[in-house]
Amino acid sequence: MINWKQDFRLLAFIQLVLGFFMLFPTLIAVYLKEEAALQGFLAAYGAMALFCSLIFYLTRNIEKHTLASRDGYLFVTFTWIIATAISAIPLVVSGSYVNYSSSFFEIMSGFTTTGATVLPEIESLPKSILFWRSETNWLGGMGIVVLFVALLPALGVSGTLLVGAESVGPTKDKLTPKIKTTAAILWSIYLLFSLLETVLLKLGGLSLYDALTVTFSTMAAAGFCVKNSSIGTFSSAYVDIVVTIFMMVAGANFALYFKAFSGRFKSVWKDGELRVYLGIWATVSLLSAMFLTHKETYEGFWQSLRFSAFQSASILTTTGFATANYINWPAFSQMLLLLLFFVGGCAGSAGGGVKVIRVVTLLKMAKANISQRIHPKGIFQIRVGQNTMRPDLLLSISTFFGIYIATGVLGSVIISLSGTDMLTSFAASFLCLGNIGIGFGEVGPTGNFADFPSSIKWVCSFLMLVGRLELFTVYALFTKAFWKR
Amino acid sequence: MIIFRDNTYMHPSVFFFMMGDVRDLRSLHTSKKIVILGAGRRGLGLAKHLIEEHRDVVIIDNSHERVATAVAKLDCLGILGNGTDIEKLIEAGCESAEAFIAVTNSDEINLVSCGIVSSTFKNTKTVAAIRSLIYTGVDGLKEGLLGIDYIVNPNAEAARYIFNTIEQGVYSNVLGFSNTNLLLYNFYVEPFSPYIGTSVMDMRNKLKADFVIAAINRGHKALVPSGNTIIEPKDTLSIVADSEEVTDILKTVGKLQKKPTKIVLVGASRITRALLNRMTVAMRSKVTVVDQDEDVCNEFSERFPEVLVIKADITDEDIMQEEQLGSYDLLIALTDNDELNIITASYAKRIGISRSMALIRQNNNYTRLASYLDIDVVISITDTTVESLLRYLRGTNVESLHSLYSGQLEIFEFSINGTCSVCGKKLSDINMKKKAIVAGLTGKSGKSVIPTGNSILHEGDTVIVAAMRESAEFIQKLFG
Repeated sequence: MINWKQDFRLLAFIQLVLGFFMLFPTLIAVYLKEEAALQGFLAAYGAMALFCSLIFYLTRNIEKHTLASRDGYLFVTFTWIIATAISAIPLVVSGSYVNYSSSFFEIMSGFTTTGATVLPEIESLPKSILFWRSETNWLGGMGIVVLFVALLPALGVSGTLLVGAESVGPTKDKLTPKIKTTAAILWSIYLLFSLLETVLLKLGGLSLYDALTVTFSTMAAAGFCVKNSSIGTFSSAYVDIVVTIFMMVAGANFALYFKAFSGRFKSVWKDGELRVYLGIWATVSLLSAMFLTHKETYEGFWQSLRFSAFQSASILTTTGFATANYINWPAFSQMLLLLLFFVGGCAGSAGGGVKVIRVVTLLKMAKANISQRIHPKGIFQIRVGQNTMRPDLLLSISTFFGIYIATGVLGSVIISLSGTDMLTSFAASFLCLGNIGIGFGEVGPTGNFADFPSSIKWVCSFLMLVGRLELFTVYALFTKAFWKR
Repeated sequence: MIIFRDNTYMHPSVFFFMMGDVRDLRSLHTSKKIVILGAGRRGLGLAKHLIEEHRDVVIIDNSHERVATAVAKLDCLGILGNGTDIEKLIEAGCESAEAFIAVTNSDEINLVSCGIVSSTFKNTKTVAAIRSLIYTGVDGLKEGLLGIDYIVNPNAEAARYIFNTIEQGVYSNVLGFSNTNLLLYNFYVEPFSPYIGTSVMDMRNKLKADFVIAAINRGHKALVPSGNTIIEPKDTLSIVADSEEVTDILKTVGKLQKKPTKIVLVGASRITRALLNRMTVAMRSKVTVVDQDEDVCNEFSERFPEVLVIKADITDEDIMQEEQLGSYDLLIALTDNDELNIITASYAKRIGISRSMALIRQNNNYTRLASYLDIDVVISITDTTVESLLRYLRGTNVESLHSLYSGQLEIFEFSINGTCSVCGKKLSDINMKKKAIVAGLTGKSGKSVIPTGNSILHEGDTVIVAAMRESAEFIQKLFG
């Protein structure tokens, strides 16, 4: 049976961790004397205290059990929902957001690293609120639960379960024998790259505040920005290049950085997924740049490459930053970006989407299937890089893709109820599901979700959550089997 | 070739009589003694060769019958006992032996016994046959393992032989060498051949090609020819020439074949794996492996993604049709079943595969049968292993070694080092007592020449010498 009490006790602990991270924007609010914002944060702390004390009281004497896999699914899903619910409080209490649906949408978009916003005008908001908004990006990037496992006392095998339910990709790499160490290593690498990017952006002339918030969103492959026109505001080639590189860094498998740091460069170089990931990015950037040059959208090839490389990386890694309003690009370049909507980052990265490894595996399955028709008795294994994909993995990957597309299409149908056009409905649904943040039509790089009705915002929040937790974790809760026996 | 039958039986009393003599005999042994653990096919095959080279051989085995067979067939000493029993190893005289060779069917026993010998008797070289690739890896083990001096992997040896055969174009009777591009090709002289009645020297002049006739097999007797030897009908001539010359000669006689590329391997065994490991990715991409075990197929497909792996029974007629196996250049039957290998390889020729090879694991008698069934090359895993062991025992300057005509003749490939007695001499000055012939000479640069009496041997040269079995030891001393 489900260990409700134990799950919720752990959940309360996670809120405490979150509370610690909310200290930073609170201090900013105090420092900048943003009273409305401060009120908001205090309200959030109040809610948190109430929630935690209630849970701790109800679960004061529990017996410890090892968590089962359904506990993992339940715990992770609820963690994300409750963390979002509490973190959204400052936004609405401070008066920066019109209603709770909007602020919930915004924070869900933050934690799931989607980066879609309901704000038509960003820069006028209190700085502490914007900082918190960007910080949720950063926390969600490597995963709240992963952070929790890294910080809190050893959870043992239960920890593996929790991390497994949250981290992305069809296979879960354990870097070290102990899951706590693995989680700590992942977060350290994440922290290290974040520091590096902040320093580089600071050198590029950004203020510490801007550099930090941009870093938060880049490293999480998330896409919130404290400026109205995203990264384009800085109109600096240096910033574009730094952000492009770090978006690509965030979209690659973090396990590979661990391997690289421990000197196993060969296995990094031989990694099939990484090669395809970089290959896709390079191909799309170059093709798009050549077409943009041909159509004279920008002055010269290098200028075109700067924007196409940035935009390709932004969509591929599901970040959702913009330096150009690609809605005005020629159709071919836009179609290339649309193609990237169905790829996403690598497994074990901060990025969302279908994940490169799944796309590669699906293509190889198609190839193997065709070969099988030619040689009916042939044995064809599906290999990505050095790894052979086991049949159960293949099944889970094809199922994932099926459900992913079905969810996205169904989402578009529901969104279209709000009266949006076809392209916008389609883009809105898939940009939420893929945690991308920007799309086409009215939700393009300059658009936002402000005009959507509250009900649609809840639908979008659901899509973001489902996408971030890779479908199965959330959908498991909706099955009969989960609640029976 | 070793021929023995399982029903060979020796009366126990004879055997125990010999056992009683162990102590006395031991004192007579010189440093030429070799102790072989395991009286199986490999053990006996090796012993036979070594005895022919005038070495003293002691065979240890724990089966009474096998020891009895060995003693009955070969002029050797048999000891009944366990190879991991130190008492028995002392009894066999391992202390004074030149080498201890463990060739039982068990990798573990071979390893352990060699370990015991090398740690107890420091001066005895130890050699172990290790079948499992897990132990020897792809490239073989470092020497350091348990102090064993040389590890032979029967599967890898067979794979190496097959690979070389493929590289040389799968002629029924071509031998290749390690360090030179010279080839040895066996010609059968047809009863109405124009060369009948001519001398070796005249034939060379007629053919206008640069080659040496290294040996002649007449009836069932091999001989090393001189220039005046007359060629008779039904002779088999062993000709050494460089690969281009061989190609020219083969063109003249209309026997040229192109190197096979489209290859089907039947049976996904360890040899198959070792063979595929030797191939480049480009070569492998034209290879098809057929096996009927699904797990093995999965494993191969995983390990060699460029290879087409088919899960099917090769005896199933449909699979030949469906995969159009008839269009392949070469079929190699490598299953664990000798009879199936022979039948498959023979059938392959019927359905149009240009050439076929069959592996023999158990019964070497099939090698003779195979030639009647139109199989181009028969690989005996015992023979390839024994050859590798002999190569090791004969010393490091023997680059390769082949036996011809049922072992009557040995083809040596020597590298000449500065200290040997023939270094710097003209060939005509080397007295080989008409028992051997220098058939090829390759300089340090890799350029091959067909030697004449005036050719001089330099340090670093590689020479090919054909020698009668009984003088193999003398020749080896001369060039060693």
